[in-house]
Amino acid sequence: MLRRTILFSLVLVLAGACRLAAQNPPGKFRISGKTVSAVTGQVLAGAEVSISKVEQRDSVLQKMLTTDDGGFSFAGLEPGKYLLIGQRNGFSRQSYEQHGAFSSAVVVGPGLVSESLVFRLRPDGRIVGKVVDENQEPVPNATVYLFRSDPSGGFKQIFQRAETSTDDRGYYRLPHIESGRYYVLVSAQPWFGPFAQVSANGNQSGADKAAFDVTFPVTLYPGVTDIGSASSFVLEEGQEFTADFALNAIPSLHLRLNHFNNSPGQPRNARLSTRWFGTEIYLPGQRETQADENSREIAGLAPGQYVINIESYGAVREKHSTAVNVTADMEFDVDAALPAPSIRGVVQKDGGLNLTPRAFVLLWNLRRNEALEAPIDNKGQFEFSPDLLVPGNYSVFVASGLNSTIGSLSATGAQVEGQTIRVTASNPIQLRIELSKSLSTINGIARRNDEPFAGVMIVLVPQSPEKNLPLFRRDQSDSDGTFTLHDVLPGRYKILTIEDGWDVEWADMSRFKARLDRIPSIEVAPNRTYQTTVNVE
Amino acid sequence: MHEVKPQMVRTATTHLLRFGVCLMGLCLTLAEARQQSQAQEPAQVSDSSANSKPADNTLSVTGMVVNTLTGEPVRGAVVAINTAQISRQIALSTLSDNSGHFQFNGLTEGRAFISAIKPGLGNRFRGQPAGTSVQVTRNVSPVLLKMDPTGAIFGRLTGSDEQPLEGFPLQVISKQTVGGKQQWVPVPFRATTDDDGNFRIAGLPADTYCLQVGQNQQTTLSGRGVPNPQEQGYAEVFYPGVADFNSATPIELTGGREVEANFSIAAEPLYEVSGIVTTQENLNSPVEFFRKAGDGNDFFQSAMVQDGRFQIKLPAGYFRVVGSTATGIQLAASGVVVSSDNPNLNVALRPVSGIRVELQRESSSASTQRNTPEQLRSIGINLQLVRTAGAPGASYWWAPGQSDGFQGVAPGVYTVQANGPPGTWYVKSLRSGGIDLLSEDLTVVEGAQPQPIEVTLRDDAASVRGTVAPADDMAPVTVLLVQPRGTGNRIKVGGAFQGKFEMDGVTPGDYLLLAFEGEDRLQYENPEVLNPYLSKAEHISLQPHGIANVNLSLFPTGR
Repeated sequence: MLRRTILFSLVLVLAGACRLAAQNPPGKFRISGKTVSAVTGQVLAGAEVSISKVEQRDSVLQKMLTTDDGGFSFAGLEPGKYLLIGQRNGFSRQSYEQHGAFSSAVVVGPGLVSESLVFRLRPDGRIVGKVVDENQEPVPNATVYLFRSDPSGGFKQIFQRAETSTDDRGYYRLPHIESGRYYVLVSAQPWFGPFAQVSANGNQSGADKAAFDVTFPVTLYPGVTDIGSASSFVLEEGQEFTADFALNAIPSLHLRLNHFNNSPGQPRNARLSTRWFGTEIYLPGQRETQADENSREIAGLAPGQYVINIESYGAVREKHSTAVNVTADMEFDVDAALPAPSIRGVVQKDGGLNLTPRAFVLLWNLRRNEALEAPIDNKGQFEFSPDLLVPGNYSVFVASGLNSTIGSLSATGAQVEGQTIRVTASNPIQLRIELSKSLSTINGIARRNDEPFAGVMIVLVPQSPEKNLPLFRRDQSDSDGTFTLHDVLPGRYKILTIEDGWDVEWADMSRFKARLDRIPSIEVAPNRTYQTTVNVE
Repeated sequence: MHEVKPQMVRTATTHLLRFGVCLMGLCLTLAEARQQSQAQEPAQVSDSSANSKPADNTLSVTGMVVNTLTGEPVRGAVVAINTAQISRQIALSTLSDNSGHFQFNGLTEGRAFISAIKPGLGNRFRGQPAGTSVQVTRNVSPVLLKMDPTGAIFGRLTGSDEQPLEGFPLQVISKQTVGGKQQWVPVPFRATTDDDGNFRIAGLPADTYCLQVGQNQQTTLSGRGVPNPQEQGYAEVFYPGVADFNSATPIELTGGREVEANFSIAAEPLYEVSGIVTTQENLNSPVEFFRKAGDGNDFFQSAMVQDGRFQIKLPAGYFRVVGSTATGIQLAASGVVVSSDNPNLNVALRPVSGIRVELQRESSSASTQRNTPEQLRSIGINLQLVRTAGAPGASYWWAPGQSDGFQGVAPGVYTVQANGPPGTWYVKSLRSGGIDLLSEDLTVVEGAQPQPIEVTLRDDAASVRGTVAPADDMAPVTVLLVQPRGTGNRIKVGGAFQGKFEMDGVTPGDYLLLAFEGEDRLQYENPEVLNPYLSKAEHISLQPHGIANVNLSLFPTGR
């Protein structure tokens, strides 16, 4: 076993003088190889394969359909980095050695291997199923949600991956799903739900009213209604997984919202939703009626936790949300719940902000799957709607393309550690975010046994990683082992390589503690470009 | 004097809406019902006895719902009962039990309409729920509600290499009688092929259908192992893979059946075409290329124009190119030919000749006069050009004050419909050159300057009112005023409601009057269909400002 598993040789080069260009480029180069199924290894004839320059990834340079033996070949190429993209029926568009948002560029030049590549295309999986009711009759128009459990954000999170509806036979189909761990959830109402409103008049018999006034609880695979009992399943590459559901209609609960029309000049509207895995899900079965002059009633509810979204119109337009646990027919005063303390702030940058359209600030608790976004206006100001934000530690991100790394973060009303704030339910919070103008770049090459090593995950780990999640940087090494880490804030870091680690929680440094201890730190100064080599264990 | 009911407007949509109201939402589609569920007031039970005696509200109606195809009972159908006084909008509803039975209690004596709905059963899009009228009395016989199962068209769409084609939109077109004519009408049934090329369009009533695959923006490559081969694209096709609607194979769907329609469509080479757009006008839009196929178009693509230049990928064929100026002037170029890559295509756009409309009114108290736009607009007339044959195409609409006529009308044959005017006004004449548009069609020829449409309105219209027997509370009735003209007929259409009808704006003259069951069932515009009934029609003669009262007997249409 090697005593030093990762070697660093950090070479400072002048910004702008990056790498030595190949001297006297020897004519033209070629990218060639064959496409095969990543599962069966069979060659894939007729796959569409294309190349584009990494710097102009949207501009296809050349493309072709693979030959009967899966072959492709692109000639006449200048030295450089190329994205290799392939797709075919049953194989969604994907890059060479793609892992989530990363892939390995094919690097072309003297002495570099860019021919006889094996492009392993991963076949799509799909999830199918049938939704029936307690009488085994199909439930048409049920909404089926697919959630994916995925560690690509650094920690495992569950997020919505796809959504579809059942057809007239109750069948649904979620195609083009990559391998991974999934949950499936169904939200539906009995088809006669819309008639329940009509049947609610006073002349209906009690039995008829009860027959119409039923609802399907939100149901998770494998047929449970509480999230703790839900089962995830693993979808393998190219697999078709069947997740059938039998929904049981139960008597619906009624929630009466009192003091709803307190201000005649400010009419209000209430809509209920539920949150599953952090995603708001609309409930098709809810039926809203005016119970009396000042009360609104929402019927069609199953027992459970709900979010009431209340919108005011009139002179003042307001939105706020509050949580309610519905366990029986019950009443609720929408004004009894106090609005959460505000969280707002300003983003600044020395020399002026140059934000991309739809830039936003993100508060993200990666461990708890809680996130909240607020758009940034043209003055750099932002304000969250924190009604449903659970108290805790939140990393602060600014999403505005490259050059939107936070240089300094300060707050009143909240404790700040690194790039993390502690949110409590008691204080309004004012954030002040200064974007850095001093970002550096680290170019490197991953090697094993002195040979370039392609396809390995490169992780730039900041100090106090738990408090500085926004400062992590990642890349995947290209076919010549090279990688680039952009937008690095000045400070001390370690560079970690993780082989075959695309399914691990790469931001959880407790997993890599022993290795990290052996890796020397590097000091990154402002506005520099570095060249480094990392050895892969 | 009885209350005047508004004259029925003859469109499938209003038919459905009207029925929707009378059944308290029962025949609404689920989506419509969902939208309305928040808006509906709680229903009120009507008091069917208008006299002062206390109503006997202890009557019951029982019945059973069955599937007409299998004869089996239908469980879990929503069954609703509406009493005769539908203006009071009462409905009681129940779910049929496991043996298909239902029962309504607490009813008062009188006529009622009982109907049922369940997914997969009944003709919902035609607004014809399974239902029947009954007289609620003591000891009324059990009601049998028959529900027609709906059918489905399903299949698989593949390319010429037998690979599945995903994401292609499919639309169903159905042969219907609209406005007394058989027409192909797009109906709201759509699907998109899935990842395996499969599609399924369900909930279709028994009917004759045509299946249309919409244009898809996907492109494929033409040859394996060839660097940068030519791209290929897909145009719009009709089942079983033809570009011309007139060559499409209709699909006959009988009740409750599922018809499989697998087919394969071929991609066509796309050529790289670029060039310049020349025009005397100030072009202010992208240019849109439409490829001619039969009497329609089967491929559409638009291109931005920068400094007078455009770049586009098109299949071979004859194209009509259109654009517009900032002020809305339609520009077009016809006969643009694409047969290969072409870097020098010159598209010369010229203003499209509009069809001018000249509107004048005649007063019974004064001579013919031209009028100010405000005066004409206040009459409330509008004109519509509707394609008469072939694939359903765009229709064009015009009203006074909008512009001086129809703009950008594509070549084709159109029926000119004059809608309105209400009250005492009527369309005395509708002409284009030597053509009487009240009984003939308008032909718009590519590149030719069309004659203006001349409309003359007159203000001494007559009225007809009367009764239709037997009167059914719920079933729609069509009333026709017919003037035989040579080999054809000039027809004005109205509707009866609860056995009564009233039609204003009638051109003075002699008429034959008939009343038919249902709406849009009879092809009355076809003289061969209508003329056998005319010998049994009522004759009337209407003077200017005249009012006629007529009692009509209802002709069954046997549907």
